[in-house]
Amino acid sequence: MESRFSFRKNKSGYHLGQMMLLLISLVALLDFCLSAQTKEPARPRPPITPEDLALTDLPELPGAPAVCLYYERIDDREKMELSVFKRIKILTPSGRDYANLEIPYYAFMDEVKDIKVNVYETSGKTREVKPEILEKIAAKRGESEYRIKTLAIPDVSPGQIIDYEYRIQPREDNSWITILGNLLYIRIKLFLLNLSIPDLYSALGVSWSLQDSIYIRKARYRFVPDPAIAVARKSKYNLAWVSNQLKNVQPTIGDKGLELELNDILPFEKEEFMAPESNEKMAFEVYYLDPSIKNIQTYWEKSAQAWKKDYEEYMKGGKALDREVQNLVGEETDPEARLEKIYERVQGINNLDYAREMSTKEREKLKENKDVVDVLKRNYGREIAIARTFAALARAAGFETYLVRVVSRDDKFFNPNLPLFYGQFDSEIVMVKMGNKFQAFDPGLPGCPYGIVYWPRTGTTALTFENDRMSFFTSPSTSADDSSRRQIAKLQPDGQGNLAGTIRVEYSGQEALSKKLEYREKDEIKFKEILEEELLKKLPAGSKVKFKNLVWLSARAADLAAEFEATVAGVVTEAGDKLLLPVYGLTNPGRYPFRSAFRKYPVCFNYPYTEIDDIVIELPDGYEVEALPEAKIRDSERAGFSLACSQEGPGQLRVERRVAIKKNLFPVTEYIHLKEFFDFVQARDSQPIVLRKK
Amino acid sequence: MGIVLITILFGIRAGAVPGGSRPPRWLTEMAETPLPELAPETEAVYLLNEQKITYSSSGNMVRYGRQAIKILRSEGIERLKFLARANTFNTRVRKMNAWVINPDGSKQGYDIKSAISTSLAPDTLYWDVKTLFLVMSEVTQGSLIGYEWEEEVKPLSLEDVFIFQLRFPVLQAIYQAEYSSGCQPRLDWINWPESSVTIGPRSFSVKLSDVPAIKDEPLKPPDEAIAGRLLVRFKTENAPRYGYFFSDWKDMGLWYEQLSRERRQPDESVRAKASELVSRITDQRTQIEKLAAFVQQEIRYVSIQIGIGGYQPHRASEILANRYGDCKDKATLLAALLSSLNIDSYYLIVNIEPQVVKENSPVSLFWFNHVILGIKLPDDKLYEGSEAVVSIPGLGRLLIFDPTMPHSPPGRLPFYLQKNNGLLVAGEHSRLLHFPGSSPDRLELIRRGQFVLLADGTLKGDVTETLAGFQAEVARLRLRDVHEQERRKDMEDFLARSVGSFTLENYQYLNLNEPDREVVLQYSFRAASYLSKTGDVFSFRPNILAMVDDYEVLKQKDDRKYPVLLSVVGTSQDEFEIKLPAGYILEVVPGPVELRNGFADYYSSLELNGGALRLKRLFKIKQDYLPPDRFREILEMFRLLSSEERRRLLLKKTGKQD
Repeated sequence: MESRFSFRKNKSGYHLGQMMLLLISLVALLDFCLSAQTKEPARPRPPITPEDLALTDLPELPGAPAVCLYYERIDDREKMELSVFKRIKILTPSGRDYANLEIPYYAFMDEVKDIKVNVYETSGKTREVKPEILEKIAAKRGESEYRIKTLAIPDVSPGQIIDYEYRIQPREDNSWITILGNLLYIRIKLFLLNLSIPDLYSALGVSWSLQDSIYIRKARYRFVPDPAIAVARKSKYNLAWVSNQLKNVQPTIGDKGLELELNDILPFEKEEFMAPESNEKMAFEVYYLDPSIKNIQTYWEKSAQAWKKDYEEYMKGGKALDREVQNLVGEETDPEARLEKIYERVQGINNLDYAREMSTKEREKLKENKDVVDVLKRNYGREIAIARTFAALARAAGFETYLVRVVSRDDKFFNPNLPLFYGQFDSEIVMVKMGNKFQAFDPGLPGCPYGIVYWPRTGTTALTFENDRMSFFTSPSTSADDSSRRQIAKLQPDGQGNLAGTIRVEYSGQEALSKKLEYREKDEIKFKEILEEELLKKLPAGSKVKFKNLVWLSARAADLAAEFEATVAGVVTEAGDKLLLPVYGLTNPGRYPFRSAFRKYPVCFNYPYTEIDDIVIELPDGYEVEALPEAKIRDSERAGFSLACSQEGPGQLRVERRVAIKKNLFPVTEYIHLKEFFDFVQARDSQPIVLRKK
Repeated sequence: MGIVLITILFGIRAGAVPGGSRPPRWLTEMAETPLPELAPETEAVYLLNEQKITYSSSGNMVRYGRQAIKILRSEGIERLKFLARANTFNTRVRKMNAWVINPDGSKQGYDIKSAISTSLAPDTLYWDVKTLFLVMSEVTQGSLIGYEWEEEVKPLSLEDVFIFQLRFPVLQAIYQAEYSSGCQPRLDWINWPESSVTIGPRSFSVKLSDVPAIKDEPLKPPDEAIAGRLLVRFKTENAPRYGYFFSDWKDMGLWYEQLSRERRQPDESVRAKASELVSRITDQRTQIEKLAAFVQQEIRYVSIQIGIGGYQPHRASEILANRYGDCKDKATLLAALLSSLNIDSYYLIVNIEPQVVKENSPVSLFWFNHVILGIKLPDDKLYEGSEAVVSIPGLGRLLIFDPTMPHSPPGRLPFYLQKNNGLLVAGEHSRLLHFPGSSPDRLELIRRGQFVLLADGTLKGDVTETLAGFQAEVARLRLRDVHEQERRKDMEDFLARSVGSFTLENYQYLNLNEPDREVVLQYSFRAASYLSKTGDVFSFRPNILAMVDDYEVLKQKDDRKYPVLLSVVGTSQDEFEIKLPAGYILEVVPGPVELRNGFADYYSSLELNGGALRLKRLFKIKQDYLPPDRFREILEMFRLLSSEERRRLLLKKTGKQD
């Protein structure tokens, strides 16, 4: 990951006066400004080489249907124009699909111009093609229309090279303000990222997602910045760029903006158990920064300070808070009990971020909470408001309390060079000093048990601003023991090659909380179906399960247990006078996760976890144990495994198994070890128990 | 570009009608309808599913529909909170309304002005149909939803279909038709017993109660093949301004012939191309194959449908010049090329979903979604014994060929056409034609494996698979157009199902680009710990490779309701030799395993030859479509196959080392 600050000052001639930094600072620059622009000569594109013409397969990606030899994209914010050029070499018959072009655009604001297509034969002979351009509606509501220019380039075959280009510009007949139904569209030349939580010091200029569905040999991107943007002061700003998954990237920055040249961009392909895509995909983003921001550290400090100011204002409650605390904790003196009562109270607040969809009437009744006193009075609020309410109450009750902003790692990992405060630090948790250590709480998450933080907010980058100092740190992590899936089974051979009996599955920690949250909108019938399906996937193909019972193990914790009747299919086999069954039969080899010897991306589990099995197998009549697999124990800093099978009595076996994944992130270099561990587990699991006829 | 879009909400959410059109009385009255006892898993129930058609003597139709739906579980909301209708070249949606009455008494109304429209369609580059979606935002568990719509149709075929059996139970289904004098409606019940019809002056109506929902079952036919429907065709005394009445399949064939005749005429460019393609080739089979390969391989699939273009192909010369087209275009170009060589051919209009068009299906234009070609063979010898040849009285032998399917050469009938039915468009010979199927005896997959089991437990394997017919088609569909990494992943997925953990040492696919040859797959792998040791007992699984892709069918929970549908019949065979580790012998050589029933045959045998074990397995699917009362045959067979894959053999040490 790389980034740079260019410190390039905007030299725009369009002085719009003082540009304010706040939400309402919209100053429009109207279309007529465009007329003052002069056309810059286009940079010549690379020629088609004899090697390009002769190419029949892509050595970097053998069998690829097509390759993009050259891609050019220019985002010109001065002209308010996007221009795109692509050169595609068709390599196989299915690669001809790349000759079907679709150019999406907002038809009520923009138009697509200058579509040009050239086809090069393998001989180098070229022909300009003027295919019929059709226009289809992607989505239309009222006058608001999103359309797609569609064209199929005729007479295309493998070996040929297609060049095509187009520009998307504002419609010439478009007025600068349009009212369409309930929507008001204003054509202005400034950017706001988010109307509810504006980033005070930065605004996204352009975001280039670099990986396409095909291999790109060479690409050129260019960004011409806007002369006036919302974060600018006196029409001045800094440009900063940040890249993801690009090595040695070196854009050039000059008066005409930023230019980036790249080579050999692989198509993106998903792998099982990978980190969030946003972390693994190649991307390049350009940001406008307020001119007071000289480096990224300043950005974080200023943003954190502003956040601090905002939440302190929100958490002010004065005597109302004191009264609430008094009502809640009364004469309770035990700190833990006091805090639990406060936690319980805020968990009872109607969390609007997780509420069922409301009717218009219901929504209209809602008022904006200005502070935590409003939240308590109205008993509803958004996730962050509830977290702040807990922090304010805890503080009022005399606890040393800190509000912590964290990066939810379920959809991204922290990028320290990306100036996106609220976009990255998108959640708030609370840390309270209990005795001589801090404990983390996640009160903004409905149903989150006391003292537990939901996994996306654990082991992730966190930030506080206290005593005029900003601090980055890692939020508390969970261990493999904190989250478990425990199976307690009583099974016996059914005489038809199966094991039949009951399986009870107990979920605890993150395993339970994830289920509770993920399926919170499902009704009980669906939830049972999901649990059945989940167990079925873990068992050998052809197994059957029938849900019997669901037990919430604790009123406060999310822990739950589901009980099933189960038939584990085809695991008992006859061999002569012996019966064989795998020591651990509750597994489906077809779902083995790490099949490939190769790994492109790090392996990422949501959280460390433990699988525990306690299985009792009744021996069939007339059989006794001939041999049992040896007990196995294996342990490392990455993972642990133990498996033991013992005879409990004359007719009963007991299998105890434990698999612990102790980390959630394994770099590619550790893949070989992780695969070897899972291979080991699978081999041990399939070792047979041998029974013989008495 | 460079434009900020600001949404200002004027106190209501986008989509709802200002002021809210009040739910009509028919819907509010429905709110009082007591619900019968329904299975607790029922997500929603249609209190009413009604359709009405008014047919005028001009051929113009006005179709009106209304539905009342009660949401019983939140799971039903996403599938039912929108109404979709389509504006097409012959249908104009005049009215769309949706209402929701929520349990808290709140009501919302939506009309066509708030509909979202789109022309996007799968596998189609351009389609001028605009689908209108009226999406409601405030539906909750317990909501009552009402829909009403009206559309004007200038039909191509004077018919209407009422799909009354849906994915949710329907308490009351009503169909009404009003028509002008001189019009004779004809009713056909599809997947439903004939029910009573109330006939009035120039009208009739049908009322059905308690129509059960279509439920999911593994390997069930597609919904269209099992859903209860009513087909209504209108015959008029005088020819109407719009539309045709197709009294039989021949009528429809004649209509399509007339619609497409001029499109398939070869012009100079087409004739020149045909000559070029068959230059110096004299035998007719090779000529046919050259032209067929050109259309299958060189004409890329691009679907552009404008106006009647959903039915009518583009001109052959245009398709040739563009080098692209959809299924009917490809069939048209091939017909024109063949015609240049004086070889006759006929369109065959089909549905690629099996069992939708049955041999006794009533005449309807609604059944079909694909066009292929029947090529008239000049003599009895050409393609003798081919599964793709049918004989038509008065017309002779026809080679059924799909120019859109690049993996099935002439002589091979693609799996989705086998035992299917299609409309033969051949003038007076037009008819519904039943297609043949391949033989269950045909070897579609042969796997020959040389394996070595080492004393340290490792299994080394070299396998050659030869895939023909359906197996080859599926392999090509999956693998031909992907790059090498995806092929490797496909191979790894297969081995994981079979041997769990392994190392794939090498692999290669041969002939993927040559559809007239068998696909050959060669691979070598190594699986550690394949031989298990428990005390002094050594065991391993001799069948090694999975013979069936999945055992979904074993998930059947209750009594089987629908027939079982498999892709095709055919035979798979394994011939493995497993060299046992030195110093070990088999404790017992088990006898053969055999199961033969009406659905399939399975046979496996083991033979010890020196230090090697020879395994032979054969799995023959004899029937690909079985009624529900024969489901136990399938269960019996798949259970055996599943246990066979886990079967273990015991080894014991001899003490001798070779």
